[in-house]
Amino acid sequence: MADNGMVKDKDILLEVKGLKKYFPITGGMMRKVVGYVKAVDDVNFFVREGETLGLVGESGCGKTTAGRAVLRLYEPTDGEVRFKSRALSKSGKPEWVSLRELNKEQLKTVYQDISMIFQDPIGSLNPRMTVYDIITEPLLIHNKIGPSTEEHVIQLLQRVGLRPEHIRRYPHEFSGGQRQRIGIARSLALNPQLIICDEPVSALDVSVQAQTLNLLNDLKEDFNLAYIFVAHDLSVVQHISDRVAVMYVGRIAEMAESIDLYSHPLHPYTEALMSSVPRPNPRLKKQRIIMEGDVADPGNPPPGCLFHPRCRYVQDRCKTEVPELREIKPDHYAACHFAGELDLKGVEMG
Amino acid sequence: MTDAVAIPMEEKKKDAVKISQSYWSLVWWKFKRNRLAVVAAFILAGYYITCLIFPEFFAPYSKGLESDYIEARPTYPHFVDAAGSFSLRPFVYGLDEEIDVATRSRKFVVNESVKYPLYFFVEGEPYKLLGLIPAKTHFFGTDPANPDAKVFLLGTDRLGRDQFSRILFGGRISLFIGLFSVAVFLFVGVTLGAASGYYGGATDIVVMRITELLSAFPQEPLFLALGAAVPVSWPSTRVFFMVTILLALIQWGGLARQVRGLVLSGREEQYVLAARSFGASDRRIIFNHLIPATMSHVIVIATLKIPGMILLETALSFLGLGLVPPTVSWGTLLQNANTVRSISAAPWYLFVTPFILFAILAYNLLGDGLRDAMDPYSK
Amino acid sequence: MSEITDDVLVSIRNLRIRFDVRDGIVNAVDGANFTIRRGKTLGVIGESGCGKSMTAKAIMNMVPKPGVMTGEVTLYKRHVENGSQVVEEIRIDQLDKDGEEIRNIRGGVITMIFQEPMSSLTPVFTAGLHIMEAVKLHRFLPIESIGDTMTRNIQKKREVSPEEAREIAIDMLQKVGLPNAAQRVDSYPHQLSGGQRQRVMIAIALSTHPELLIADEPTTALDVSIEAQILDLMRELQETVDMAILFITHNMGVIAEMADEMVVMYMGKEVEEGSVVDIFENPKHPYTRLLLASIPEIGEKKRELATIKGMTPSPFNLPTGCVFHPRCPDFMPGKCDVVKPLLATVAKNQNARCLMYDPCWPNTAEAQAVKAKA
Repeated sequence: MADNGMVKDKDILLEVKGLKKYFPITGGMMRKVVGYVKAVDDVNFFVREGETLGLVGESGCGKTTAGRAVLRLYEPTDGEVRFKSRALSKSGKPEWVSLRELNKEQLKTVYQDISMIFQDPIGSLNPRMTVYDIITEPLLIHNKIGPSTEEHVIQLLQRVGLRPEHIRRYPHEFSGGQRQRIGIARSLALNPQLIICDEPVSALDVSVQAQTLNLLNDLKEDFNLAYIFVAHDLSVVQHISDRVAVMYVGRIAEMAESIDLYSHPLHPYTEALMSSVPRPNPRLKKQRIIMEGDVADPGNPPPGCLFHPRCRYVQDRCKTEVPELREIKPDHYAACHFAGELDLKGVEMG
Repeated sequence: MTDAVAIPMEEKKKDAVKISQSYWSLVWWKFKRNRLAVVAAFILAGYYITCLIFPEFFAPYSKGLESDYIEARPTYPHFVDAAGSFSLRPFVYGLDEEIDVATRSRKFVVNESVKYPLYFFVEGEPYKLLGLIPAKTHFFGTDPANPDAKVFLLGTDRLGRDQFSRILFGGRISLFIGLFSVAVFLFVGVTLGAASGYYGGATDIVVMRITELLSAFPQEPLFLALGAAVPVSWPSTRVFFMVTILLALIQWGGLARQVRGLVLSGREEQYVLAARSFGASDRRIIFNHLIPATMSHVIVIATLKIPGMILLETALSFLGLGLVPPTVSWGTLLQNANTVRSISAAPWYLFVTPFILFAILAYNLLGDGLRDAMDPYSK
Repeated sequence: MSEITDDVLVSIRNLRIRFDVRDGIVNAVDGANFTIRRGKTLGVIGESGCGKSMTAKAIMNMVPKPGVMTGEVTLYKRHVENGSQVVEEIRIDQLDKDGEEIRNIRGGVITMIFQEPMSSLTPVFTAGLHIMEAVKLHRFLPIESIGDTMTRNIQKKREVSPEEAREIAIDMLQKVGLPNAAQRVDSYPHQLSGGQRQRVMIAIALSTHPELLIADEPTTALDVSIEAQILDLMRELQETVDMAILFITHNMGVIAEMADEMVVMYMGKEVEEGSVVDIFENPKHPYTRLLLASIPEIGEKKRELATIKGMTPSPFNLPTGCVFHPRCPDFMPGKCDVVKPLLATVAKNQNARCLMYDPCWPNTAEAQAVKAKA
């Protein structure tokens, strides 16, 4: 498990290489596999320590699946996930492990370092458990219940903006935003290094969304956390992320530092996506780039570049050849044959 | 402006009530509002106390005590005697045997000149309370010093045994069969259903095919065949357990399917995914998350299933295929009433039916009440 | 915005909808006053539970039980009689909820599209059948005028024949940009993608030539790229068919792009109304101001988002005075928690429901200070 030179940057916490998750499509009487939905297909990204990586894309682009496949909640079909784990190392110094090679026990130990926050603030908390039971469940699983547990839980509750007396209540007594805070407190219980946030604010009202985003940002600094922030809302992702990866039909289309990506996109999909976002400025009568048609079906993807049927810069080459994710500029990756050659418009950063 | 002051007070009060209302306290709160279901629950509690736990105490006689009063008519308690004088202590009249000259059958008629007062907590036949504590006190009875004094609230049978006592003892078996077979039914159904839903794959296919096979059999003939297959030579206790287990084993399929469905949808719940993301084991997920989520459904199904089991036992025993005398159950008691002759001669054999009826009705009402109370999405 | 002029299509006055439920009384809408103008888009914005969808239902007289609606909802329906245009005034709130007249208005004069295009389409009907159904019920074609010169202006109308209905359906699907409309007319909802279904919904809604289209979060369930398509489509269609749109959403960006005028709602009350440009550039009510500041905006790097402290109160236990006062940064103790503010004019064509602007309060020192801060 030694460093084999794949990692260029010593700050890197998690590195995903060639991650694939195919779901079989069965058909006929005998439930024979007739094809695969390539939910995640050859995805590469990395997360640095204490950094937020936004994973953004439209529904069905595989962003949620990718997040779950990293943790092996969905067993990946192929690929490598390397993580610098604190919990699994005996020396106390973080050590590189390959998540896909771990056995059940080791994986469970690594789960102390990586936790998740879920989209649905109602569904992600068991309605039959009290707040105390919910937040201590991870501790219970990892045999970390002690005499100071209750105090620890109260501290967590206060840290996420809830009151100590909430500890004995049940989820249904809270509003959506408060429930999401309970979920956040739970994800912090084991003191992780990385939190995978799966659309954590998309079910919340605007005012509560802002509170939650601010909370996540504060926690990141306090606990030196890294986030993988999975979301479909480009403005939310821009706000919270240090770097952003744009996904399209199971693949990464573009990955770069947030400001760089938004102001100088290198992939036509990123450009079109950003121009599609309705902007809260009534005087801004900008020219929208309308992407014709629908998102490609991951069960029956088009040949060549997946985006070519909707791309306004399409060339013959795009229809046959799948573009690789390449580093076009330092720390700016794009999967387009003509990345860097096209004159794409970004958003002016205010 | 007084309103402005009053409202925060109100708010406080409401808040205090709201604190930590668990799911079950909400269920209880809702259940209490359903009067019919609460009454049903009390009736059932009465049944279980008198029939299942303490029939020896509540019955004036033991189930096997024979007397000379063969198929004697019920002796009802009175407060006012034939002369019109009132006594606070209830009494029963004595019975005289008469032979009908035409039919040459024997018959009992009420003799209003003999009065046997009834007493509460009288000494009677010795028995063991709960099978352990020796006792002699019965809830009610006639003067133990007078051996002629008898009370047959619901008449007697062909061997002169007191119907009322036998119905209470019969209830013990019938009600117990309901509980026990439903317990077996729940165990098998929930375990197999949960396993089938959680693991899927081969487990799922095997379990589901078995349930389909079971549901494809016509149930009644299957019972008849299985009931007939129980060897006659077996002791009654073994027959009893055999019958209960049979009842459960044939019926678990429906429950397993429902639990499987609930587990399948529960498996997709985000809180299950959350638990997995913290490294929870399969066992923990099944027992701490998935099965509790099915519990409200399962309890309702069980409550509605118990009367079905009781009726099934009764029907089987009535047909002579379940329990057989000398085991006393509501079904075997009903066997007495299986001919027109016996009903016309001793209509009190039918007194067992209201007991069955009310138990079944109470269970159904209770089940309905629970179902309404446990549905978290209704109102 | 209260004077009734020619261009008013629907006017809502003192609309209140209350629900008497077990836990208490909820005023889902509490005194709404606004006007929908012909050919214009009015946006209604607010967080969940603010009563925006209920207002839309009130316009269709479709308030679900046990809701009770009071106030006035007036529709100024235009139609041609004897060659000249007549405006008929219909009090929607006074119509029988299940009567013939309101059914002719629903789906005819006023149509609606919803957030969830899948559940609003019947799965066993094809796209075409949905449209044909609406057309048969609500669209009538003129027959040749009857020969007599004395009655030359009388035109009789007849129902649409099935063949014509099908033609209209295909035509409508083409208009909403469904590719291969002639074939797609026979597709079932599950054969269409989310965006295509929403296009079909719009085709149904437009097929009867409505004067008002109520769009209740029509793009919330859609992806950004599809949302852009649908918003563009709605704008294009509005230009060609001259209808008003009541656009209900929680998304500030969508309202900025779509609406001419807007109403901001909070806990059943409209807290601010005015033209979209005015409100976005010069929000007067503290709630509107915070709402605008709390959204992360693409192209703008904010270190910290403004937040509205606390959470929306329980509808059973509304705060006294101004419903927003417990969360308001400009809270004036002794005033805001006591006096219920009225909608006050704050600028030309801009009203806000805040005591700062209430003519009875503006001269106090606190109000001046707060105003200066704003």
